[in-house]
Amino acid sequence: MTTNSNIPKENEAMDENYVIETFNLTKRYKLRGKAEKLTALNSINLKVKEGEIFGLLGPNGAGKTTLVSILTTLLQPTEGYAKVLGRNILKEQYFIKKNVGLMLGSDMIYYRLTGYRNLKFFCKIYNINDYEKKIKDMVEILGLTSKLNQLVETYSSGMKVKLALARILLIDPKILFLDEPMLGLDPKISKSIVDILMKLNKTIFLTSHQMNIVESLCDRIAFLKEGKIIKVDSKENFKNLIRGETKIQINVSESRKNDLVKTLNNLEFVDNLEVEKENINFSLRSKSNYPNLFEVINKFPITKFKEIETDLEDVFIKLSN
Amino acid sequence: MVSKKSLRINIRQISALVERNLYLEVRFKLHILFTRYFSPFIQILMPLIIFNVIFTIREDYLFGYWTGQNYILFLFIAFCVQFLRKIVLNFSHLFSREKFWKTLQALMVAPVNRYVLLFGFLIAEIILISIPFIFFFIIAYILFQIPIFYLFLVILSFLALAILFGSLGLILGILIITKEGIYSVFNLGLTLLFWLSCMSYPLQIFPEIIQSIILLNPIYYFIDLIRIFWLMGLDYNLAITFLTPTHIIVVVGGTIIMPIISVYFFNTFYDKFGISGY
Repeated sequence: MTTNSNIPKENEAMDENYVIETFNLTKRYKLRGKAEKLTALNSINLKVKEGEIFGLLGPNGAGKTTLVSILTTLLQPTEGYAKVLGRNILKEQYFIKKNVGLMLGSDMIYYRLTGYRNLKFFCKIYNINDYEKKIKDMVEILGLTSKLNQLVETYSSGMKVKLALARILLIDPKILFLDEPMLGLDPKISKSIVDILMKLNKTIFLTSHQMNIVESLCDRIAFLKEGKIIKVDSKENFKNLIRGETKIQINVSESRKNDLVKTLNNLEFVDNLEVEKENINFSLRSKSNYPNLFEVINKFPITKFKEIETDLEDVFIKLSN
Repeated sequence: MVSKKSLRINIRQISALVERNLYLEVRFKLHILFTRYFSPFIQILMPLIIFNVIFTIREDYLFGYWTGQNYILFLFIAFCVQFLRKIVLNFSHLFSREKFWKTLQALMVAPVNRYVLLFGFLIAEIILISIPFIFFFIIAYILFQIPIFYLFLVILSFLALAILFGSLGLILGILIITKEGIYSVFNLGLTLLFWLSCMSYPLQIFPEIIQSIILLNPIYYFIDLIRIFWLMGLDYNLAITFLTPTHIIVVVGGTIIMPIISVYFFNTFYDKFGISGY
């Protein structure tokens, strides 16, 4: 992550490897009926390399969509600026618009037109020649051929997402901005889309809540919270954040469940205690706490004891908290 | 200066927008038929019945330049004005539709000039409106033929009215996607202006107090000028007594100023799109 001291001057040459750079990017929204403004983004400094799949994580309202909107020229920042493909987002919007593709889930397509009409329309808007053949090839890759001449409103959620993806892939952008691209899709379709994205060999800037998607796709991850970048790192290093912590799931007979929850709550080496149906989930700060834990839980009629592998979802919860 | 290549791209984009808008409109054929073509007729039906009764009872009666011989012409003109008026409402409808379908972002993030977007919307509207408009205009011309010079003036004043309605539509359109609260107030104001525009009634039918309010309404002058120009071709001496310098000043001034104001509005608010959601 870049610090303020090494922010280059606006006309300074950009490192050729970086296709996205933000410099103290700030966005404040005026709230209706309130004097103070909401800071959606607070001095964001990010760099994304060419060909990198970069994931932006963060809880709802963290500012992910605002950041994507600014980088794709949909919104203007209040302060700071950014460079996309080496061009200033405030000065060379036309170049950026021509070379980036934005996908907001399954939005940005016309549900009352057929899939073909949608793709044809956007090909014409982006001045793509020989679009008939390109559309044919693209829908074949995405498995949309049979539905192409049907109205989009008759498509399943997965089909809509695939069409939205076809829309931006047809314009052959240098950078793909994908905002929650697989929200609401079943794992099979999500995986098929992940596979397609992996084969693209393009720079992808992805925002998502789905940790499995981020984990399987992204090279690097940034965590955004309340408009601030908390951490930018590789996914391995993100996982290291909770290395040493152990997630445990136990079951106890219903009559003693509340007692056990109370007891566990009082233990200082127990974190993230959650009760879901018959399970009690919590994390242990270190494996060295096992003897202390057993000493306590041995007094209860435990019916199940399970150690669970930690994943990015746990990192997400930890950083969100 | 615009290069040949960018001009070609712009034309291609406009044609894509027009084609898309037409496809979206013809998707619901009955909706088009009823809202665009039948509803203007229904609005004219009542004055047609009323004036028919009045002029049947008193053939020599007149309201300003409205007589038993020409009132049908004026209602035909009102019919054509009603079609043009659809530009105002449909323009805002198009913008709001793109906003709520979240497809406006797809257009804003694409390399599309904002004016290309406007022309695309406008040309599709003109195509949809022009079919019934030309049909009824030709019928009116066959029934009440006038010399070519006056026909030219009539067409010119219809064009001025279309520019005025287009400008108002653009203001409404941009307000609906950025400032919905102000949109409602502006829309109410426009409804009042249309109501007091003497589109389907002569000015002289109203009480004096309302007449003086109507005379402050610019839309009234636009519509009145069309009627006066047509009447000039039929009965010059009668028509000329109703033509005032205010008609010319308001129509010429409005045709020049309103597009400038609306484009200024459009430019100012277009950049603020996306913020109103918060």
